Amino acid sequence: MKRAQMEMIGLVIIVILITLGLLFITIFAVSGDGGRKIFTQKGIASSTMSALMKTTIEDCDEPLLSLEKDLLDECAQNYEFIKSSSGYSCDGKNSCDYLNDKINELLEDTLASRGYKYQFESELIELGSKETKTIIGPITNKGGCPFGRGNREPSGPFYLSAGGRQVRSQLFICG
Amino acid sequence: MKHGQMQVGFNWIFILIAGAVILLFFAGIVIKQKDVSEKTLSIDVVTTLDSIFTAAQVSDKTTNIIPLGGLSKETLQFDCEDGVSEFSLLDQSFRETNSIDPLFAQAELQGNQLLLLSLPYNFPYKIQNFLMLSTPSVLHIIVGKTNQEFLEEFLNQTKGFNVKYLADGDLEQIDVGANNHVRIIDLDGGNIVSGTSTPQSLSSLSDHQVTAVSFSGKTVTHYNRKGNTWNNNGDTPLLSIPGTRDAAKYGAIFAGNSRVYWCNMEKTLTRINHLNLIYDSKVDQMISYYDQKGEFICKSIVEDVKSTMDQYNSYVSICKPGTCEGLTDRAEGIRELNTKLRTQSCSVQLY
Amino acid sequence: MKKAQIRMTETVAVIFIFLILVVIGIVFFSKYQEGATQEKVHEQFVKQAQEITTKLLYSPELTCTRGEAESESFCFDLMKVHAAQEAFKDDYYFDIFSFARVTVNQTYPEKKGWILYERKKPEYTKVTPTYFTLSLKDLGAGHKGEAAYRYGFVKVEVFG
Repeated sequence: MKRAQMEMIGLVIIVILITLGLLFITIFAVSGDGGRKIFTQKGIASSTMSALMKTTIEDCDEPLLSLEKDLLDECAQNYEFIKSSSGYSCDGKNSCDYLNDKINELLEDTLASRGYKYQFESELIELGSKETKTIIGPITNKGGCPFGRGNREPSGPFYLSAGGRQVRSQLFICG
Repeated sequence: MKHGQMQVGFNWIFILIAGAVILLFFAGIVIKQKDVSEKTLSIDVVTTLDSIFTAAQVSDKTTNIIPLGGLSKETLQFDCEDGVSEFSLLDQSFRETNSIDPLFAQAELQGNQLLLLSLPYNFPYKIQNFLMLSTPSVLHIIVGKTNQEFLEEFLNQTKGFNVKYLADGDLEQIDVGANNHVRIIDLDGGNIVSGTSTPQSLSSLSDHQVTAVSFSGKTVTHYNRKGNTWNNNGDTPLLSIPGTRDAAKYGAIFAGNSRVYWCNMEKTLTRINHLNLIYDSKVDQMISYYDQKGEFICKSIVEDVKSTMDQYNSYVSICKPGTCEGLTDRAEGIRELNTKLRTQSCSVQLY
Repeated sequence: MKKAQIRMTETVAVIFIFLILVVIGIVFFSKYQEGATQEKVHEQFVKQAQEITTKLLYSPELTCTRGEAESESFCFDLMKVHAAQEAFKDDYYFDIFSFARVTVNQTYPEKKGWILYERKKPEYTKVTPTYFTLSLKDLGAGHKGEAAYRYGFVKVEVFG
């Protein structure tokens, strides 16, 4: 009898072990990745940059200027003496100061309000030199997207030739 | 002893019955699961391909090569009827249908890769992208000398596809090799004639594996082989205007037969009908704009656009094989007027 | 007899335990299948949302044109947007956009919005919004009659 009882206990232990094993397998197999972004951040970064650069500005003394082709171009060409230059005046500010504020506002409207972390920068590159100078930004939200931060998606650089110099603008969105 | 012998006997009978029941039970589960797995695979494959087609379709002028891997032994079936195309795996019931996007392909495709070519169809403004499908085992043979410009463009656009040009037009030179389908493309319109003999070089293929398409003016004729002769399976109009990339011609080249070709063109005509509502409204807005600005020359051109578009809309709604005369002229007319708006420095153009 | 009875009972008990194990296995397998199916349904929903947004962004009914050249990307023609409000009511567009709501919003220079398409799914249980920033081309409103580019975004809400 004793032997039979031991065999029964053995059987019961096996059943319990198998049940627990299946339970754990089911839990791990079914639990999926909760949040999933509908679109790649890269797509949103590209579309935002494309829209931003084309925007027609109505706040300046001169009518209807393009954000990139007119304002950014003037900011880049005259950066060193922008405060004293008699270029565009938008909302009482010079083109560089105005762009800093305006781009910040536009990005807040479309990206910050959706909870995205981002970083926008325009850099001036002198031809023949590797040195760069940031002329707009960095404009960030929630700490921005410093290099090395995970899921950092670029919009792709937008280049502008500005009187013998080049301007490279880029937007990073990170998850 | 007798008692023991009986006991052993009964034990074995019991084991056999219990074993058989358990085996049948598990065998039943396995067979059912196999069936479910095949159906699931078919659904997964078809829905994944549908996503690939959607993504490929939105990218203008692109060629995509999709490796089929384990699916290289499967046959993809494509068909189109009454303005609805469908595709599925051969002998599987699940099919994906699409009544919006034109998809031109042979009735059956099998190969280790799926080759996709997406081109915008402009008539005269962009209507939608056409998606052409093929595999490396479909051999496209081009014959004809007159349309060199299209030939060069086609050869350039279809790099990666299995396309050969026979300069001397000798179809007996065709080497079928390991291909499972041959499509002959007659750009001149005189090399393939209904009732004439098909090349002997294609005798290793069965009838449904040998097809041809011929272009004569604004008419497309698809052929299939019946016995040893070419059989005309329908004439359809080629709705394209010169000076634009001829997506309609590409569609005719890749479509399996005239029924499938015209079925997909019908989808496009339906799209034109709906798109024209947008453009009609835009024309009205443009007339108001030029009226407000006092730009009466531009306004007059736009009024001409409006009346041409009205005619264009009428022709679109009645267009069927044999009744599409005048449609292409109206599309060309709209293009010319739009160009006139540009040359007259009118700030707002139709497209 | 007693020994045989014990043996029979033992055999029946083993088979009974075995059947219990099989039933437990089936129960867990079906729970797993249920979870996997729900995951698949969610994946399909996400895929559908992505497809609808892609089709919208490249739709010739809305995109900015440049004559014979390729359309401008991430740009909607405002004249077409105004026309689409009426045109998209046609059932034809249900085959493209399915159960969704498409809204175009301008944030600069003035805040404006247009609902282009709306078909709510009866008894929907979830709504997933997707946003894309884009330019809104206002033909003739720019300097010397050129186009002015407004800044805004499109919101596509898919009903599931």
